[in-house]
Amino acid sequence: MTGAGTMTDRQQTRLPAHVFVMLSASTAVYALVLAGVAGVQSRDDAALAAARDPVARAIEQVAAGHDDLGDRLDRVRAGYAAAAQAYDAAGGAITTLQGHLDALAAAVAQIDGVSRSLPTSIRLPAVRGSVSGGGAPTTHATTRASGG
Amino acid sequence: MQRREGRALGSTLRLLVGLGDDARTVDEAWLEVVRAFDDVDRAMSRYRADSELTRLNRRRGGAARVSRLLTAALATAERARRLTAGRFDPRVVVDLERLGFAAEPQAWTRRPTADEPVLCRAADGRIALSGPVDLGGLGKGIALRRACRAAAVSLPGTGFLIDAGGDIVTLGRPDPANAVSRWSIAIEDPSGGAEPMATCELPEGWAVATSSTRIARRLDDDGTMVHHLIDPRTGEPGGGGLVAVTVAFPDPAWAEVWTKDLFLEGPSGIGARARGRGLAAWWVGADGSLSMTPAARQLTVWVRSEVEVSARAASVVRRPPSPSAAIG
Repeated sequence: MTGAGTMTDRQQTRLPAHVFVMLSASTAVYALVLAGVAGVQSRDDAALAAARDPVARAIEQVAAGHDDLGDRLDRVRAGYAAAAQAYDAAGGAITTLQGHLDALAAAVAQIDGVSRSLPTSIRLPAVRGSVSGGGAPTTHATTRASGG
Repeated sequence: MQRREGRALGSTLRLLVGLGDDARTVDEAWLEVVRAFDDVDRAMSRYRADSELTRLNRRRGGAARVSRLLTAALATAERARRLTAGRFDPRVVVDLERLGFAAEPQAWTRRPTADEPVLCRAADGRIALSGPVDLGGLGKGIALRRACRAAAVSLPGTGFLIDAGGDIVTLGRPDPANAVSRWSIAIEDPSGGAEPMATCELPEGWAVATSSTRIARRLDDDGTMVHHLIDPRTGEPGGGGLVAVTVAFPDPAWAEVWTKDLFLEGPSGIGARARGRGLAAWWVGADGSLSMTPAARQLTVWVRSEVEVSARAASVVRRPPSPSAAIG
């Protein structure tokens, strides 16, 4: 009995050969398909990375430009603040100057009023000249039309 | 101060001798002066039928042997023509005769082109003219130059003045003992006023000449003024309204040349031209105003218009004064 039983177990646990062949073949096909898919995926990833590279560089440049623009804005902001401070300082002087101009205008108006009251001409008294009438000095000769 | 007077080249001739010489020496000098003018008259007068110049003109371009005096005068005229770019040109006889300023007929009416020289010298020393020549003013200047040299021999160390109808040459000082004394000259008012336009004092040995339209002028039928100062470039009276030009210069002949040159430049350009040549020049415009160069201002002692302005300014205030003499 024991022998018969062992023989049955052997018959029951032993797989047929074609199963092994099928398993091996399917495993091999799976490995090949997996390798092919991995290869295709790798190529696609490389192409995608290459396609995205210019965009990435452009983004980096935009970021750098933005940083530069930020720096400039900071400087302009500082300049504007300085100008505003100077304008505030000048404002006081301009106010003072305006006051002086008002005073000058008042003085000019006063002088103009005085000048309008002056006569347009003055008759001077006759004065006897100390030189003899301002006539031509005595000369030795006269240059004149000679007709030549 | 001693004087001798006579006539030569159609105008008065006067010798004025400064202090220091006796009458006999002055007489000798006067004879030399008269002789110098006679020599020029015989050689260059257009008013004499027997002068060398009239005879040469009447040869109508034919060569002839003439005196060294006339040859030198023609050479001077040619040089003046070149230096003044044709403003001074003695070949205006045809136009003078056409406009009625005739003298002895020169019997030749050729009008040379502007680039033709006044004279041609043949290899044998004979002279030929390119057109009829009038050496009137230049001849008087040359006569003054010769008379001055001759009188200087007779009057060594004495200052004198020779006046030939308003063209004047001087030598030395009127008072040899006074180092600052100068011969003083009045500049005639071309409108005929008794008082001069200005007076000046000449440096030692200088001359002065005036070209003016005060004489030898007439009104044409259409009312235009015709005078004897012909522009050789147009053949018509020139000056563009200028009335008189006076130039002081070391040589009397060249003083005459420069007065013609400046006169024909006209009122718009005379100041720049006179300043450019460094000339002491005075000129009177059509409105009677006197202008002068800075060099002339340095010689000027008295200006009538400036005295008039001073007199008017003393009577009325706030009235614009008339212009005083301008520096051109």
